Amino acid sequence: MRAWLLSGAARERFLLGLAGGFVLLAAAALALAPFARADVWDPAVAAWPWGLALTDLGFWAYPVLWLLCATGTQRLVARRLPNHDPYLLPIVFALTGWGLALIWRLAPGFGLRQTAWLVIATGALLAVALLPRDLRWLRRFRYTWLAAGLLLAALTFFIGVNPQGFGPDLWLGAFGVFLQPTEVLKLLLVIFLAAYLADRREQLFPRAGAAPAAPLNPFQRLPYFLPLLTVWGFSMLIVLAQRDLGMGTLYFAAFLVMLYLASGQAAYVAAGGVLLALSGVVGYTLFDVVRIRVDAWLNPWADASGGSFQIVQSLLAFAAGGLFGRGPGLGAPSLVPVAHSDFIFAALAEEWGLAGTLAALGLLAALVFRGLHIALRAHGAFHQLLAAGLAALLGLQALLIAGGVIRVVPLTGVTLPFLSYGGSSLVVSFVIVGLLLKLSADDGPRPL
Amino acid sequence: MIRPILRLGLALALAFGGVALMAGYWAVVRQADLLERADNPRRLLLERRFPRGTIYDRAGAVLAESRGAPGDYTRYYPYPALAPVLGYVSPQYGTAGVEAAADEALHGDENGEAWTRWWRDALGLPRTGRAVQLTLDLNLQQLADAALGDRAGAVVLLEAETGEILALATHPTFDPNTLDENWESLVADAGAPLLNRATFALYQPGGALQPALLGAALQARLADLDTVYEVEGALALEAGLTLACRQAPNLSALTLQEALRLGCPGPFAELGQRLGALRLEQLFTDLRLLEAPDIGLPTAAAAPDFSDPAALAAGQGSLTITPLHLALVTAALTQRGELPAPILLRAVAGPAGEWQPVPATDHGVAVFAPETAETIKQLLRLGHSAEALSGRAGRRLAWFTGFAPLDDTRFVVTVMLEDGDSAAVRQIGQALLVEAVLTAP
Repeated sequence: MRAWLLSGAARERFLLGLAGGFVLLAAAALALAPFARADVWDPAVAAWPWGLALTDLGFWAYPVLWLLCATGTQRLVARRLPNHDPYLLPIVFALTGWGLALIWRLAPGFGLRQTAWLVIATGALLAVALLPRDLRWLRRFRYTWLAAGLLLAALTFFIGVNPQGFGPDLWLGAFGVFLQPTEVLKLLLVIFLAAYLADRREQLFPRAGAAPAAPLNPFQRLPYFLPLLTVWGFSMLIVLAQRDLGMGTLYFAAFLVMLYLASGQAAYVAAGGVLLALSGVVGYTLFDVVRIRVDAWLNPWADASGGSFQIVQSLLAFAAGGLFGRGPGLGAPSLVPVAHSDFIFAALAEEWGLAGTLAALGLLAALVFRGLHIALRAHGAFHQLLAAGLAALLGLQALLIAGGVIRVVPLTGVTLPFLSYGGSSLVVSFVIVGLLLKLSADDGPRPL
Repeated sequence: MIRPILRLGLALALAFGGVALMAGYWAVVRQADLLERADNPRRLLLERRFPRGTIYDRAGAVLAESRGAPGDYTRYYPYPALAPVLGYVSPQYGTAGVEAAADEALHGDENGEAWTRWWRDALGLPRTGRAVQLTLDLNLQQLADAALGDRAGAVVLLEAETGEILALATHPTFDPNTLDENWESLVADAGAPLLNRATFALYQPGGALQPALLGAALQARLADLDTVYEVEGALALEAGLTLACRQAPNLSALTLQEALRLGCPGPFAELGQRLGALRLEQLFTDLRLLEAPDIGLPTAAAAPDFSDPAALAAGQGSLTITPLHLALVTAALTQRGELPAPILLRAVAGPAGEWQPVPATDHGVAVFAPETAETIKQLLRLGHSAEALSGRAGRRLAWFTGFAPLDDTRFVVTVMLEDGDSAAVRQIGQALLVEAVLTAP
């Protein structure tokens, strides 16, 4: 109870302490899991059945580095942005620490890599949040940022690779480090939309903001829509050409949300929903990749060992978890294919149960609502649109994949923010949090 | 921009709530039927870490056990011929037989709360599969299997008073130790080795039910043992088949008593006519021939129509029975008309390893008056042999059912051979009765 009487920074430290306790307990539980599985207290059994030695220093590096990142970030952000939102960092680090535990358990080969990405992502967050200037630089060079993002994404068509060695070439790679440009592009797209819509709101949606002298007729408004549609069209083209259904849906939904926020008119969302459904029907008849996903969604039981193997195994993982889960390291979540990335939510459900599932969803939702809260308090249309857009982006992405693995929506491959394995996704998510921190600390009145 | 942001928040909150509800739906509401799916390998993975319970016969001989070290347990069946009864546990083909019937106990499921089970798993406390004891007697079972040899057929040996099954042999059989390797050929085998012929295969009874019919007729005062019937050659059946007396009589007129001994179908067809559809249906219902016996294993029963009482009484109508059914009917005749309920699962090991008897799911019922049953029993001193014609081709089946000792009867046997060898069925049945009486404690 005392915590709620504390100042912002103290509250943040207290919550971060709770997160730290949780992450350390999870790591300890994972370390003890082999003994529990073998049912003997014998150091000779200290090898994890899934292929990692308990004495692996890399494993122990993850809680240590996590602790350094979390406390370091908290200290620096508290010093430079005294009025920042105190809930963002505890939520984000709790989720990230949990994600690391899951990745070390599911795919130890990726554990060290993801730990390194956490350090890089923390650096990116600090760079964005602690930059001395305000966010005007983002707004002013919006076309430059977006063009760079599109170019980077387009490069995958020429020199794209896939770190797995097979599958679609969605990454750019050098020296063993892989970057998924569409992850970066999704952030730049939201920034661009926020900047453009903030600038041109009056012309685009005459009734939305303060009315200009003479409202423009629809024909006169068209030129203002063109850059918007062009930029969005290019982004959609790139992800669709990559056959990345998840990113395509996410871009589309983010675009609709930004339009709705700027215009206040639900008609855009409705029209977009109809369009999405139509493109789904067209895609179903034209493309196998869409048909398989939709069939597996509508009736997974019909082809449980073929097209809908993943989704059925994912649902089995939820059932195996039950209310309280099998316990960390004690389930069999590797039975679900790619459990460490797209299906990490199913792995979490099996070992941590419905209790863990609800906790993870609660943390993600809390993060989104803090973002919207920041948007409500932000000064100026750009900051409002940016904060709400970034929060919605995280929320939509989480809902898209969490809903996919439990058969609420057709399954599309995007990462579960902060939890899934994936460096680009983690860095971009941390940059989003950095921006939200910066936006939350900004209480000076703005021109515009 | 306040309103759009609040509405967006509301929409996202609803979506998160929906996802949470759906997660709960799969994890709680649909949990049981999802986990039962054959493509859920978790249950069997667990049995590689913790041994599945051992299956014992009534004297403590091992019939199935998990061998190996933690993490690498495999199921072993020292006596493979019992496969159609014991069944199997296969990661690919699921469970069957006793392994399926007693799966909860053998796997070590407890009725405890989810919380206590989670706690046990979290602490890695060993979950122990509980042992199961069957009513089978391995010695008699081996004898029955040896007697059947390569022939297709079935043997059921019961303890007459309690209904405990002492031997349950069905041939051809298979080796459950190599099930996964041989599955394709086992499924394709025309001899149907996976089929439990003693409990799940329905056969034409032919003359096998004649003693019971006679009992019903006596009780209804429609006939007595000395009622005389004309025997006019063979009985004509459907599809041009004919069924003659098992042993040709010297006379053209027989008493029912003689017809029973010689296995003549004609008089019984006529008796069926006299009894009528209603009384026959009552008799078959009382004898529980129309319901599948409850012994845990898959069992079967026919749903005959009673439009042709004569054919039903001759055992060539739409009533078909399993060898287990016939053994129970014979047991009723030896037990003053009391039809026992069959038992196969005898006891389950408790937490401390003590045997806890499996509570009876069923109880015996009185079918015949004691004096009627005694009268028929005296006619069956040497057992009862019968023949039946099966299928359109009229394949001949041989039945034998008998009991021992004559007074204070303890054992009942039923033997069925698909090759129709009536000498062999009697031989096998009598040999088993002798052994059962000699080795009885």
